Amino acid sequence: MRPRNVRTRLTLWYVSIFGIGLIVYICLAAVLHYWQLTSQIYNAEVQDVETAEGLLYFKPDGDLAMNEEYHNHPESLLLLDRMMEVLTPDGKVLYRNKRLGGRDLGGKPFAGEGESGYYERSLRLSDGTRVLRISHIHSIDGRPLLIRLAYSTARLQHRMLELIGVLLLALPVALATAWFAGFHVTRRALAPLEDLARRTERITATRLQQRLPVENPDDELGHIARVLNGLLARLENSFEQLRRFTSDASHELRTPLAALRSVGEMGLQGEYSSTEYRDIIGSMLEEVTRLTRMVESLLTMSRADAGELKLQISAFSVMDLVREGIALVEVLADEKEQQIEVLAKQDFVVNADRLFLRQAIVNVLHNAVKYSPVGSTVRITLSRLPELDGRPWMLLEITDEGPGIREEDRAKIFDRFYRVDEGRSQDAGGAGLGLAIAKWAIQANGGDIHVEPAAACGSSFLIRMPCQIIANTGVLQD
Amino acid sequence: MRILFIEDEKKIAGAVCGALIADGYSVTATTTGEEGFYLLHNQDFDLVLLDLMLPVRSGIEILRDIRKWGLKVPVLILTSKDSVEDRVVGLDAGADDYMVKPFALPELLARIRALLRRGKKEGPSRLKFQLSDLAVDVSAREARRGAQVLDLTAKEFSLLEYLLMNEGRVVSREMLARDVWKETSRHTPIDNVIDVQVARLRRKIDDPFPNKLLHTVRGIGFVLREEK
Repeated sequence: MRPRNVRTRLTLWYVSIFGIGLIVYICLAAVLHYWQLTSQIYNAEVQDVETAEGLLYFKPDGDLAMNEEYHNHPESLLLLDRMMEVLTPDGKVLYRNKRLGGRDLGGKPFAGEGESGYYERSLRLSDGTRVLRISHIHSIDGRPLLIRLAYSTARLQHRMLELIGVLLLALPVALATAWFAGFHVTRRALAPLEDLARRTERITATRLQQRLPVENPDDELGHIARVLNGLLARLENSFEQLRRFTSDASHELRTPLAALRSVGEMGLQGEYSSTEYRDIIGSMLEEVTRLTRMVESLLTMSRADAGELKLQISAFSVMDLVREGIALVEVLADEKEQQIEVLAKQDFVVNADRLFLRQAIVNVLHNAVKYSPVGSTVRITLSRLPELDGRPWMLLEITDEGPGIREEDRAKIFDRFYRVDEGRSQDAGGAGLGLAIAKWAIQANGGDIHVEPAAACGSSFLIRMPCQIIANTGVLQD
Repeated sequence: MRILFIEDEKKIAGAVCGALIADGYSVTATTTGEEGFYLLHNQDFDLVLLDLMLPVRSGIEILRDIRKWGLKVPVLILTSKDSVEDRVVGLDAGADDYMVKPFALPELLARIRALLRRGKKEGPSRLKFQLSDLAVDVSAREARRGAQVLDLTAKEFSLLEYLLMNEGRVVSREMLARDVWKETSRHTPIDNVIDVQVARLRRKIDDPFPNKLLHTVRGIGFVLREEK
């Protein structure tokens, strides 16, 4: 089961980590403390053994005795707690002090016990008392004696329990405090995020021009705000495009529909000869063709927008493409007694979708022929541009001697359905989509297209594409 | 020739049936795939026209069933789905050809003829045509009306050859664009190129002579025939 919100989750994490840290700390503190106390007892025992050794003596009857009068403070804790026995190395008990009474300090010694230094061991006496014992071999009157001395660890255990108890008692209090603090810290940290969410919520489809404030562009929140702003900009852009597109498209689609309807109605209202009826039906079919073309172009473009059109990239010569385009529209130019001139010092190979690029060139060329007056010349030049991004670029210029394009129209002529002259809308096949498709096709292939006024009159369409260079083939001329 | 037409859109079904009957085919039309499938099992057809968007069972499922049952009848799909993926699905399911709505009737008729011709032994393509006093020799690339030799460009000649192959039938601009100009993209502005080329051809083969052969059918395309 996961907590619902980030705030609770963060607090929970915080408290868990804090709690684990505390428990580790308590364990370490207890171990350290235990080790310190034990070594204190050990040191005291070593001192005591050394003292006791000096006080032991053999009585004339051969019994071992201890000179107790030595101590200034016979009530000393050390003395009172001391448990001591003295054995021969083979285990015969020579002496046991009063504190020890009838108990023994670990029974028979093992071979070599206490021979080197002080042998330390923790053990339990017959009545259950836990003690810390040290053994040491000492010679008195030439006889080796094993002296065993022990203190009870009851008090040490008691102190340890006390310490751990106090620490464990404090744990819930510490955790509660941590929970409270964590909850408030996360709330403060998340507050700007909630604020951001509230502001974003207020921006709707009708208020897309609004942006979120970016207080500190370098921190995480600033980053989120910038990302959201970018998203909003793109959203606004596509909404605007959609709005313009819908209004343009509805105009373009309604015109042939209106024509279809009125021609049909006219046909049904009067009495006509069969030839006239054929003409009426033919005229309606022409509108249908126009509508069909437009719907197809629109579908192509919306697929292109949605990224559904896949480019079939291949390497091919631009000059060949230009020649194909010319071959296609040549007959139109010929009809208007126009010349198509090609000027190219060298050819270029581009990596692109041949069909789309061909269509782009044909569309531009077709436009040039269409809008140029009778007897004029359309000039096509192919030249090399300075390298960009480490790649060579080529420039294809298509220049006509038409009426030219006004400055305010130049950027827009590549928009869908845009027409410089509203009156021209009845051209067959033209729905103001040709240049839009051309622009899309060129951009999709990594190039760009724009229009400039030509030196004398008319316009130049400039198509730039990254390319490879083919060796100079001399002046190519058509 | 018997054609089974499975299409639920009544207007289209009516129009296409009319055109097919006028062209001399015998047509059985049905609106559901099940009925079409039943008819296919009980009668012999030379060709199936199949719409993909059918109620209850899609045309693709019907098509797969037809092929699963081992029926070899040629199938031409009619659909408004025109993406490459849709075409691939249709052809993979066993279709022989594919036409996207809206289509031009002359083109549909041409494709039906092509499908029906397929499988039969193809005769050598015709090299000589004669229509009224227009005589064309393809191998010699020579065209004449009566005694007068016509001076045609290469494009004009292939246009004339195509019109002669479809003599008496209307060819649409789409058919010309695809078969004569070899233009695969449907967005290339080629219609006025075709119109101009046809006008030039007409100037050479018709204008100087009283007996006109090349006619424009408004809204559809062109036809080469002798007017009675």
